[in-house]
Amino acid sequence: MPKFLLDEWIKALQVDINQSEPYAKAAERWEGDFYFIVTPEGSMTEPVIYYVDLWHGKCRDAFLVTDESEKEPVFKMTAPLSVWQKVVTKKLDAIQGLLTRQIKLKGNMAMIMRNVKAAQELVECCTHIETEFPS
Amino acid sequence: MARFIVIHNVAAEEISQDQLVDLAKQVAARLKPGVEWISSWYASEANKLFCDWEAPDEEAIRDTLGEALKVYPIEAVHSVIYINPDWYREQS
Repeated sequence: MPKFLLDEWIKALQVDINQSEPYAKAAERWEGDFYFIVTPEGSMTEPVIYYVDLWHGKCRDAFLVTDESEKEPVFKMTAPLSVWQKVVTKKLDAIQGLLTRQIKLKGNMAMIMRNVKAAQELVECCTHIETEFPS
Repeated sequence: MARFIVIHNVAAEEISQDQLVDLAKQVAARLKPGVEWISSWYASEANKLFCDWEAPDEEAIRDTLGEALKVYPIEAVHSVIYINPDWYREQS
């Protein structure tokens, strides 16, 4: 079972995204990479940064980044662990999280809103991963 | 109280999360007694925002929207009648 906050989890997500026909269809015109930043909570001491490169319905690359300056993605989404856990387990709608600033976004919000179906399918892929969350 | 569907054009190419959330908060803060922003539905493929309002008249809604109109101009306002499917459900 992939552990959230480790590289194995984002690699598992990459595999799932690339197998998802609904995601491929919803994101066929999407061009843009992300940082998903998990800010420390509980036993975490440092933020965890996932880099995800999404391109025309596929995930070209996904890995854990140790230095935020390593990449300059178009979008950065930042939230504490508990919020990401709610998103990944579909207890919080990602768009609601963005519209209420529970998830902070750096980048063009209009572009995210126009591709809401792709965002929903991405979350759907997250739910396919049997995830072990840190306690 | 009259009910309205307000359709906004949301074709703005670029907006930050803070701009968008702050606009929504400004609208919520401008609500006066008798004017209620009930819900909004965003149609991403059409770039339209459909908002359900209860207000005495259209002018009260425009007044509440204030600065938001500059970013998301109104395309149409329809005075509507609320219909609830519960009215037609058979009672057991």
